[in-house]
Amino acid sequence: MHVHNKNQGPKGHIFRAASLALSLSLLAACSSVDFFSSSRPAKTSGDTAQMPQDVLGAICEGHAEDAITIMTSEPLMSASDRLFLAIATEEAGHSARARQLYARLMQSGSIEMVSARCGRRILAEGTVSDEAAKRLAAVARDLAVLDANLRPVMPLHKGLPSAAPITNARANNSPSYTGPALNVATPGSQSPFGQWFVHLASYRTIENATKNRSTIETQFPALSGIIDQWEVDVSGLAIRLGVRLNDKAEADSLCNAVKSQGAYCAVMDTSN
Amino acid sequence: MVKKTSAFLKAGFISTVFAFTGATTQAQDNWSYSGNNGPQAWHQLSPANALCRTGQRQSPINIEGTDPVIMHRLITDYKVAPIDMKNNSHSVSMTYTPGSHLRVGAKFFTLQSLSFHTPAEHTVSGESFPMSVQFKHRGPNGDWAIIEVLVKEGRENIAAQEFLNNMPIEAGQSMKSASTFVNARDLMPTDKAYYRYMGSLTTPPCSEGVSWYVLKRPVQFSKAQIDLAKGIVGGDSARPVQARNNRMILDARPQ
Repeated sequence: MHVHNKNQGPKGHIFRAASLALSLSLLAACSSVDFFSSSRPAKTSGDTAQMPQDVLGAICEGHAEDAITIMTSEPLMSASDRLFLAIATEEAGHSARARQLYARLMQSGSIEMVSARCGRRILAEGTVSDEAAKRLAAVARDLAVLDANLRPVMPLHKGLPSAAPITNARANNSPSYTGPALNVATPGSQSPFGQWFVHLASYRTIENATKNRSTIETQFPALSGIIDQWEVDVSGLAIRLGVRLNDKAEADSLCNAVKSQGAYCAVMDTSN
Repeated sequence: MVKKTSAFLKAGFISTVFAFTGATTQAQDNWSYSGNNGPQAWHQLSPANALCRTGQRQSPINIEGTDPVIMHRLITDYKVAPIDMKNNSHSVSMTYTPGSHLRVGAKFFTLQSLSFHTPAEHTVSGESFPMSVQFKHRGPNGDWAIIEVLVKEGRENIAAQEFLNNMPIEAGQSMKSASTFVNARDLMPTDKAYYRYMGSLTTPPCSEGVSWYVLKRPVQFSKAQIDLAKGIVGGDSARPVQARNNRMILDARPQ
């Protein structure tokens, strides 16, 4: 089963391709259902789900496509199984497909513990949600290296200005902020995956958002380095700049602090 | 454009492998595409060629099992350049005058040289093409980006025919003319949709870290043109397909 590509004959290639196609079809089918509701555990050691040995072996030996076949040979019920499948998918060179699985797992918030190692190489060690988030970030970096445009610039609707912010963020209308620094506290619950988005400004293009990010950081030194962006469709593409937080109360507090100093701010729920 | 094309037609045919420079890409002149110094023995010809055997991200590969992803467009800004070709016995290379560029998102590369391969080095879902043209670029940090244009048998390619007519057909022969111009863009399809992966140089020393862009849409050459190109280098000028080793191969979708 673990046949190296280089040594395969034409029939082997065809079989492998068909097998992989079937596996990925199953994978696609599985990803369209809510697989986070079940709680069937993977093989566990204590409270930690371990990657099945045959799957781990296939991945560690460089035959991740076999791992996909194994994982999809029966219904995947638990979040840990789904994570292991996503890892196998990524390791097989299908990072774009794995990305979708990781995103769903991350959003599931599963706190099921998982562990998988190839010798010293850690594939996963932590909660499903956290590991999916880590893997998602790594996949995004890999795809960016390969010129993936993960944040495509959408065509603008006619008549829309390309440079002007959508909101009335007073100090953000100028690309360079020369006023006094506004005093807000650095939020403790900031996270790139936080549900609550403290919205400070919006732009129609990635270029303008990027250009004005430093303006906001000059205006709010305490938020320097944690300004995030969120692309949404508001009669066309809009790139929102702000800070993502896990804690709603802290998001409200930060936003009130911003507004009390005369600047625009709104707390938005990114899960909507 | 007519003038440029006319000048292009006066040029010669450009082919195969490049004269590599740089610390990690020292040229090895004693290699070939067959026989005792063929691809299976490249690693034995010089310690610098070790990656030809041990590398895990080698090129060319068979393009299959791709993932569709929205990618940056290939933006080619190629200028007309005076012809500068040399037949180095196992291939004919053409050095391109600086000033022609490739942009991919924020990345920026300068076109260094062109080459022809018979057959094409990459295969697509197991399908082999009789010929390809490779456009070799280098970035500001010395990183390589190569676009491979696949060639299928069909109608005669007028520009390529003129190249063939003027090609340096003998080993060691050069064809250089400040008054004869070519434009690399004439050998590219208009549709630049591509497959993308990370690989290596396909000649010794097989250095890795090369950004490969294999265009999906082939251009056409006549059978006579393909046979003529193949005859000039005396046979195949393509490295065998290498193992994929679980690498990502992306099917670039337009923005």
